[in-house]
Amino acid sequence: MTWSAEWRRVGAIVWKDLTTERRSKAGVNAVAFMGVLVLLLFGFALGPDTEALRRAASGALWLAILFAGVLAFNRSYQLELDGGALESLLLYPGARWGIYLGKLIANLVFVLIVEVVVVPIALILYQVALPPGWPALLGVTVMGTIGFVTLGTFYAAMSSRSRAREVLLPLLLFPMLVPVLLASVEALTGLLAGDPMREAGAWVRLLGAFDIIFLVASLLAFEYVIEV
Amino acid sequence: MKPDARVGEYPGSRVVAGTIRLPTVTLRITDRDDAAATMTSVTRRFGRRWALRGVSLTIARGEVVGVEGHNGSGKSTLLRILSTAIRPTGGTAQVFGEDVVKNADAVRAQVAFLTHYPGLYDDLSAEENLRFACRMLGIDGARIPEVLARVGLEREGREIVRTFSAGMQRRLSLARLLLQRPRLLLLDEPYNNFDPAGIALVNDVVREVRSEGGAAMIVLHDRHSAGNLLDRVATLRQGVVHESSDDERAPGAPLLQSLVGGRLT
Repeated sequence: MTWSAEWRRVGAIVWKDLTTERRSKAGVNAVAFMGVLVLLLFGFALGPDTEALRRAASGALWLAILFAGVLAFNRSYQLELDGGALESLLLYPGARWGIYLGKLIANLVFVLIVEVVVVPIALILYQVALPPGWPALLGVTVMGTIGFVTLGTFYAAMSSRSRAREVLLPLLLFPMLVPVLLASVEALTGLLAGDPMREAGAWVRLLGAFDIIFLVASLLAFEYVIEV
Repeated sequence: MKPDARVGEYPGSRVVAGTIRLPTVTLRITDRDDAAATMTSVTRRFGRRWALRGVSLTIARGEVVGVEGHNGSGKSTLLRILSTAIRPTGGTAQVFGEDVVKNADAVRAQVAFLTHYPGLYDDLSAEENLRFACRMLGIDGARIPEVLARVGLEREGREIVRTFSAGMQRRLSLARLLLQRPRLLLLDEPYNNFDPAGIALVNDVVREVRSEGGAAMIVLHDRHSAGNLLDRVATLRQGVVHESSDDERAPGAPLLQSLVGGRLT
C-alpha cells in the first residue's frame, strides 16, 4: 500500500472511533466524571490549606488525567472486541502501524476533550491563578498528554486480548509512565510558580524526547503485540 | 484419459489441472502452481492444546471445499490460519502462491473471511460500516448501495447496526465481503442465523467467486444447506484431516500422480 493509502486508513480509524464515541456519549461523560472525582478526592485528602492545594495542583491534575485516561484506553479496544471487530480490523490489508496511529490520534482527541473539562475544574478547586505564560502551560499539558496516550494506546493493545485487561493495563502502563509523569509535573509546577529557577525548559526538552522515543518504539513494536 | 475441461486447459501448454474419471474412482489433480490455497503439515497449538496436528490440504482454483468436524476439531483454526488471523505453530500455508506468514498482506488482499462474529460496529449505521470497510480496503464506496441491495438491506442502510437482528447483521457482514471481490472465500458456519433466502444468497456469492476463478472453503455442520455447491468435503478430527469425499487413497493413485506429475488432493 502507498503512503497516501495508509494515511487514508489512519483517517478511517480516527473517524470510526470518534463517531462511535460521539454516538455512545457514555464514554466521554464517564471518563470526564472520573477525572473530576479524582480531583475532588485529592482535594478532600489535602484539606483546606490553600498553599498545600496550590503546590499539589499539577500532580493531582496529572493523576486525574491518568486514571481517567486508563478508562478511555480500555474502552478504545473494548469497541473492537465487541462483536469480533478487532479480528476484522486486522484482516484488512495494510501496515499495522496505521491501525496504531489511528487509535492513537482518536485517543488523543478523546483525552484532550476530557482535559478541556478537567483542567478548568482543577484550577478552580485548587485555587490556582493562570500565570501570564499560560500558553506554555498548555503546551506542556499537550506534550504530556501525547506521551501518556502514546504509551496507553500501545499497552491497551497489548492487554486487549487478556481476560484481565482492566487490571493488566494499569500494571503495565503506570511504571512506564513514570518519566512522562515526572517531566510533566515538574515542568508544570515550575511554570505555575513563574519558573523562578529556570528549570522548566529542561523538563520540557526531556518530555519531548520521551514523546518521540515512545512514539517511534510503539509504531515499530505494535505489529508484534497485536498479532496472535 | 482425457482431462475434464471444467478446471482448465491453457492454450499452448500442458494441462495443469483436471479431473480424471476411471471406472471406480474419481481423482482431482491439482498442480501446486494452480492452487488457490495449500497447507502443508500445518500445526497450531493454543497453550498446551493442539488444535491442528499436521494438516495438509490443497484447494484448486474454482473449487469449493467443505470442512466438517466436531466442536474443537480445528475447523475454525484452519480458516483463521488461511485468513492470516493467526499464525501456524508449524508447517506452511499459501494462498495463491503467497505465504500466509511471510506475505500476509498480499494474502489479506485476496481473502475474505466470514467469521462466527459479525465484526461490525454497533454505533455506526450499515452504510457507515461499509464506508469504513471501503476506506480500509482502499476502494471507493460507489458499490455500497449495490451490495446493500444484494443482501436485502437497501432500506436499512442508514439504521444503526445495534438495532439489527442477528440475521441482518450476518447479511451486513456478507455485504462487506462483497465489496472486496475476493479470490478466496473463507466461510465459518455461514448458514447460521440465515433464513432460506439468506442461505441461497450465501450460495450465490460462493458460486460467483467460483465462476470468476476463485475458490471457497466452508466450515459447516450441515451439508444440506450447501446443496450441490461442494466439490469435496474434508473431515477434521482432533486436528487431523481424516477423510475426504474424493478418495485419494484409492489403488492406483500414486501411479497416476507420478504419471501426470501433479498432486492428488
